[in-house]
Parts: sequence; structure tokens; C-alpha cells
Amino acid sequence: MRSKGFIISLIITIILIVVLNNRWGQVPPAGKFFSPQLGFWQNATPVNNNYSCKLKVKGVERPVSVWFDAHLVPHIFAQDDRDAYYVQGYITARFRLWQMDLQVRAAGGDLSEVIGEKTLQYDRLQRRKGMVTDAENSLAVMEADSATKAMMDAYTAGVNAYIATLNYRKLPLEYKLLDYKPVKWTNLKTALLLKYMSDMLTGGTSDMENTNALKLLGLQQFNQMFPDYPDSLYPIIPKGTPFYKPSVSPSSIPSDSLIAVNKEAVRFQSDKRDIDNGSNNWVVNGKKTRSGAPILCNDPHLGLNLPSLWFEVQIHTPDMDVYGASLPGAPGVIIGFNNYIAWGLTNAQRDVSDYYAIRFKDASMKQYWYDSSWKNAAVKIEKINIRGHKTFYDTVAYTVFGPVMYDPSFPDTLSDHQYLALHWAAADSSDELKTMYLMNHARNFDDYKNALKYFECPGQNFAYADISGNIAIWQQGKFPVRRSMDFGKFILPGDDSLYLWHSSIPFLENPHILDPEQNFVYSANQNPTDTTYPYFYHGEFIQFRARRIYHFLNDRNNLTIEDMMKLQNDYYDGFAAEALPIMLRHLDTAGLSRASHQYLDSLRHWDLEVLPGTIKPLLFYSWWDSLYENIWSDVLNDSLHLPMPRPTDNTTIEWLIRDTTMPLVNTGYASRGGNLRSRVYDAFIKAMNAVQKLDSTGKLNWGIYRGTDIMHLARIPALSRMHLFTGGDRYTVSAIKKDHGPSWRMIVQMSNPIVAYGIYPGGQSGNPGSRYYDDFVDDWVRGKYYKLNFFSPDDSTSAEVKYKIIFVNKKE
Amino acid sequence: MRSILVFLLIGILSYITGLYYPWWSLAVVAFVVSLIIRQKPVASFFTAFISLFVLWSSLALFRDMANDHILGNRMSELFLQVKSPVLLAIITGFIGAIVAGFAALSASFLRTKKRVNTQAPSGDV
Repeated sequence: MRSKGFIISLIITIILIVVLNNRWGQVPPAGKFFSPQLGFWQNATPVNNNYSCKLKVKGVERPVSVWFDAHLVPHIFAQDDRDAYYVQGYITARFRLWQMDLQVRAAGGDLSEVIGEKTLQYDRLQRRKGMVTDAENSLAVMEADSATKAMMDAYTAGVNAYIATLNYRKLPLEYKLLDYKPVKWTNLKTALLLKYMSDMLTGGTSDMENTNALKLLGLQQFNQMFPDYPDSLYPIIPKGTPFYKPSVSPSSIPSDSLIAVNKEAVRFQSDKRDIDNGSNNWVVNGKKTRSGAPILCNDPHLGLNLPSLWFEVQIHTPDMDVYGASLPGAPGVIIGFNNYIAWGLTNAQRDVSDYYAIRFKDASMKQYWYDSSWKNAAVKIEKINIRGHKTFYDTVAYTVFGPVMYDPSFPDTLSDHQYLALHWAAADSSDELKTMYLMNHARNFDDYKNALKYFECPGQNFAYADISGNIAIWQQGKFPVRRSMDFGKFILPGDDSLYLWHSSIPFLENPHILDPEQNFVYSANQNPTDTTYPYFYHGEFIQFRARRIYHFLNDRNNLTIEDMMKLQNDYYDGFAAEALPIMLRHLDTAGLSRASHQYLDSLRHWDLEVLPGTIKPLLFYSWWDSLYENIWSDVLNDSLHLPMPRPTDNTTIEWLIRDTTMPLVNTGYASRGGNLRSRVYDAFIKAMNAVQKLDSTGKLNWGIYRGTDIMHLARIPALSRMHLFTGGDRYTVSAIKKDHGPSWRMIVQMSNPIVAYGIYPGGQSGNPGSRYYDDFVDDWVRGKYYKLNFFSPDDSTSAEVKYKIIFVNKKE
Repeated sequence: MRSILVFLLIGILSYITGLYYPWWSLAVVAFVVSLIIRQKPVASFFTAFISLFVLWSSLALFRDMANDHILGNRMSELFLQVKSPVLLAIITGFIGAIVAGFAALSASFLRTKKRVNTQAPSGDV
């Protein structure tokens, strides 16, 4: 009996150990995961943790001091740039390693290796776009430049020095949760991260939808629905500013030839990005400020996640002293200021990705028809590791245009898709890090201009201010010289070199302006220029924030930092300001229910501020969305159920302002009967009924209904900040949405000394067990700022310095 | 007295091995200690169980308190759908305890069997 007991008991013990030592579904190996000495409890950093220490590392030549302030922002003081970038890599990894890893996996299509089968389609998409190939090509260019290479090498060495210190106990929480280990950082990963930003900011397209629309509606109607310029335009370069005579004149091609190719409809949705990946920046010069010094402001609107996309840092060396927001995974500062200049970025929104219909000889994709002969395609096999499954091999053909992103095997095998190759500006090798390196070191306008030369993708509006009082803005990127206004809006013929991008707009002819008469510059993802700009371009431009910013800055003088904070936290909805009066004017109120009357009354008294405590934005947008459908659904929902592009709210409302009878040529609005009044009425009834159902307690408001969720990167709600009580929408200057918004608010006054404020919705630590994980979030929701500590080496004993890490050479 | 000694030995040694060896080293500790210091099977199981339960849950609670419950709240919400670091610490303690308990029980059976073997070579089957 006893020996039986021993055996049973021993077997149970062994089974328990085996069970608890392995991962079951989503449950990590419970034994080590729960062990308070090894597992997740070790990630519960004591709230009074002392971060100060002395680290002996091989990678620094001379001692480097890192001071942390109360927000855990590292201030790196090094004797040379190399040591500084090494320590930046080390410290960034110390706080954000898992995020760096995940973002690069997301960039290069390597998520399935750690997540499993559910991310396979996404990984295929990233691979087929050519992300890894593009990053490899760019890396070759970056490493050919000695300054960029030195910077990357030092940063990578720093990251790897930190990784080398890790054991299971010290691993970031997410590695324990998902049960995998970090692998070495490489320069290629930094290059991939930069491509990830390009993907986020220029990767989307509507070429497929546009092609369908063109086929169904014709060019004239298409251009009515998707105009290149709005009626009411506030371009980045003030109207009337003369442009250079273009040095490149494209031989134009008739629009007919673009349409000829579009015989086939496209049955899948194209790859979309959030087109509100936009942003605001503006600069006012000393003539408009109370202090007499320029003030530069920037708030990039991006997807909001935890850990945050940004990591604040100051880097001080004899050659540079820069503070700002860095991207975990890339050396240097991306948006910030130094002792001489400040700069901020917004997205150019220009279309720099085109699709080409390729005719292959056969399904092997080995040869395609090009310039009247069969040309060989390069074939790349993409190997995608999938956790718990067999490795997946994807075949991607490369043409002169770029990778064949879509073919009968992707995105699905349901219908016989065309072969579509992607040509994307991000595929043209470039060295954006060089721009950042030079910008971090820049001392004047010439340095800024020189830095911009290297920046190709994603096209950005670089706002600029310096301590001498100059202000500027430059839309920089590598933009193709388009052969007609419509070139690149639709799928292009892929059998003729005529349709290749032959040249780019020369650097000096990109839209830019230095010290304009209006004494301010600004950009908010609107069109960069008016129609007098000598090159064709198109993109996904947004107008309303730009108008609001223009009027705010133009109407005021003696501006202060507080005014700038007010503008960054402005909730006035410029779109509702135009749409609501028209909607109210065309609403017949006879026969409305009592509840509807109340809603109507509150809309009539709306000050157009999209504040979280009010239901009015919900009333307005429910009504507007319903009206939009009433106006466009006939046109957009054709009988073939093809994906179609959606006209912008701006186009729709400007059309209604021009002509309330809004005749469309082929379909819909006018022909089906029903004038604007009946559509406005129907929309109102439908929307108010829907709101009434939601608002059963009478306490519903925008902050509850919409609000904001800042999701953890692994989409784990318990590690996220959910249901934040926020106002704003995509048309308010503070463009907060459900999962998207001002990801870094920065205000820099170029006085002596420089005064700067900033905040982002996250925290410096990527560890969900740290008090610094999300400690900025509540203040961000409230619209507060933190004064940025731009330390000098003399501040060593400042009360603001909370912790110090000293890096010394191991040999010492 | 014997139970208290076993309780302390298993707790202290598991803590020390836990610093340097894999988490399941606690099973080895519970087994070896229970092999050396004889107890009846039931007592053996519960002494090791309670020892590891106290060790792991108190270590967890200690970290949780120093952490102001930040991670305890998040992880309990993730695994238990309720914000209760204490419950999470109890589960933590239970995981260590159950393994230690069965390891000690095995040793106790083995020890008993050995004793039976030496005293009654013919066996008691």
C-alpha cells in the first residue's frame, strides 16, 4: 500500500510540475509565472524604487551620467555622441524593450512567431508590402553613411548590452505572459521601425476603391466626389506665395490612358491606415508673442497605446544638447528642440503609393509583360514562423515597380484577383536617421535645411523656430512628379515604363516658407499649397483643424504659452460649424416627438464644443452619419457590392453649401426623388430614435459614449487604460478619438532660457507593474502639461534630479 | 515541534533555492526535508503545503504592498476578472503549496515504506 502511495504521489508531483512548467493556451507556465521570486510579481516594481546605480559596461569609453527627473525622463550626459547613443539604447531598452521587439515584429511581419496563427494574415500583408526588403535596402544606404552607421551601431550595442543582463526574473512582464524570450537587437530592426512609421503614415491607399468608383461613375463624377482642392482652402503655404518655376516638366499623359486599364473591378478592401494619423504643428514668431520669442507647438495624432509610442529623453554631449520625444528603437530625438532650434512634425498626407496591374505569363509569376516583351520577375520566398504550427511560406514576385502585393493567393483565394504590384516611396532607399541626426545637431536655418535634404518618407511638414527669431515650415519628402492630376489615384497599367515614377520633385521646390508676413506658420494635414503650385499632387487632406488654427493665430497677438495650451486643447468642431446650420435650416420640425424636440433644442444651443460632459456631439454625429448615408448610399452601394471610396465630410458639406439640390450625374440623390429636406428629416428621426434608445437613463454623454481607450500593445484590457472621459473628434484641434489622438503635446518657447512644456498619454516605463507606466494619462486627459527639464551639466544638484545612473567602462 | 521544524526548513530552503534555481526546486526541497525528517503522510503533506503557501503568498503580498497594488490589480483583473491582489496572492501561494505538498507526501510514503522494509523484510502487502 505504501509503495503504491509513493508512486501515485510521486506521479502527481511530477504531473503537477510538468503542467505548471508549460504553457496552456493563453495561460503562461504557471509555476515560474506565479513564483514570487521569478515570475510576474518580480515586475511589481516598488513604488519607492531607487533607480540610482553604477553600471559597469564595456560599451562606453568615458563615464556617462543619466539623471532622471520626477517623470522618469532620462537626461544623458556623455563626453561624445557615440557614448550617448549607446546609453540611449541601453536606457530605452531598460524601460521599453518588449515594445521595441513587438513593434519591429509588427513592422516586418514576424508577429505569428510569438502570437500564433491569428496574426498570419497580417504578417503576410507586411511581408508582401516588401517591408523587410525595403528596410534592408534602406539599411544599406544608412550604413554607407559613417555618421548614421556610428549612431546606429552604438544604439544597437547599448540595447544588446541591456538584453545581455536579462534572465527570466528580470524579463519584461509581457515576455513572461506570452512566454518567449527577447532576441538580439540589430541595425536592421531600427531600419524596420522607421519603415513602420512610413507604413503608419503613408501606407494606406484607396487606389482599389477609386478604380471601382471610376469604372462605375466615370472620371467627371469621380472628380466631383473626390475633388483635389476644397472650396475653402487654408493651405500650409499662404495663398499668393509665389512658387519657383518648375525645373522638371512631366510629359503629360491623357487621363484616358489611365482609365483604359481599369477593366477589372477590385473585390477586396485595400490596405487602410487611419487617415487621421495626422497632427498639428504651428509656430508664431516674436512679433505675435508677449515674450518676443517664437513659440513652436506640435501634437502628432497617432494611434494611442501603452506603452506609448514616444519616450522622452534629453541627450547632452559637447556637440549637441537635445530634448524631445524619441521612438523606442531609433537613436536620437524625433520631435523636440536643442539650444538653438525647435522642430515639430505633421504628416504630409500625400499619396506616395501606387498600384500597377501586372500581366504574368502564367501563375508561376516568373515572367511579366513589360515594354512589349516578357521580363523576368524576381521571386522572394517569405518564411513566416507560426507559434504552434508549421512554418508558412509565401511567394512574392518583384517587378520593376515593386512587390506584387496582391495576387490570386492574397488577400484571399475566393475570387480570381488581379496581380497588383506596389510602388511605394518607402521602398526607395533613404536615410531618414541622417535627418534626425543633423536636426538634433542643427544650430540655424541652414542646418535645418541641410538636415531635411535626406528625408524622403514618410513626407512630413517640418515646422521650425530658432533662437534668432526665425520661423519656417517645409513639406519634405520624396514626392513623385506626377504626369497628371489623376495619375496614381487609380490602378495603373503595369506593362509600360511610361507609368513608372520617372523623377521626384526637387528638394528646393517642395512647398516651404521662411518668415512669412503673417508671422506664423502652421500645418494640420491640409493641402500644402493652393492650385498655383506647379506640380500635381493628391492625398488625403483634412481641412477643419487648419482653418481653426489659422483663425486663432491670425486673430491674436501677444500670444503666450498658455494661449498655445488653449489651442492644443481646443474642442471647437469646425465641421459641425458648417454642417449643423444647413441641417437645421432644412429640418421640418412639424410632427417631431417630444423627445426629438428636446434633442433638437439642445443642438440649436450647442456652442460646437465637443466636450465630454455633453450629449450634443453625439446628437450631431448620429444625425450627420445618418444623413451622409442618405446622401451617398445610392452611389456607394452598387449592386455588385464592390468596395467603394467614401467622399469626405468636407466635400459633402461644401457641395451642399454650393447647391442643395446636389445633382449627381448617374445615380442617387436627385433621380430617386426626395429632396434634401426629406433626407435631413429621415436622418434626424432615425438618429434621434437610436440616441433615445442608448440614452435610456438620460445621462449619456460624449465622454461615456465615445471616450478613449488606450490599449496595451498586446490588446490586453487589464493592461490598458479604458473608458477615459475625453472630448474631441477628428475635426477639433485636439483631435482625440476612441483609440487615437494627440500622442505628444509639445510647446517650446525659444527664449533665453528655452521654456518648454510637454505631455503624452502614457508614461516613461513600459512596465505595467511600474507607477511610471501610465502616470501621465490622467493629466493628459485633463489637458495639463509638464514643464520639461532641459538640464545643463550645472544642474547636478537640482532638486528636480531624482535618480542618477552612472555608466562606467568595465575596465575601470 | 517536528512539524514546526519541517515547516521552517522547507520554507527557508525553498526561499534560498528559489533565488538560484528553477521554481520547481521547491519540490526537491520539500521532498528531501520530508525524507530526512519523518512525519506521517497527512502531516507531511500539510506541513509542506502550509510552508510553501505561507512563503509564496507572503512574498507575493510583500511585493504587492511595496508596489501599491499596481500590478496585483492588473494581473488579477486579467486572470480573475476582479481586482483583488490578495486573491491573486492566495492563488500564488496555492500553486507553490500544492507542488510542495505532493513532493513531501511522496517522500513521506517513501520514508514509511523504507522503514517498513527494514523492520519487516517480508513486507506488509
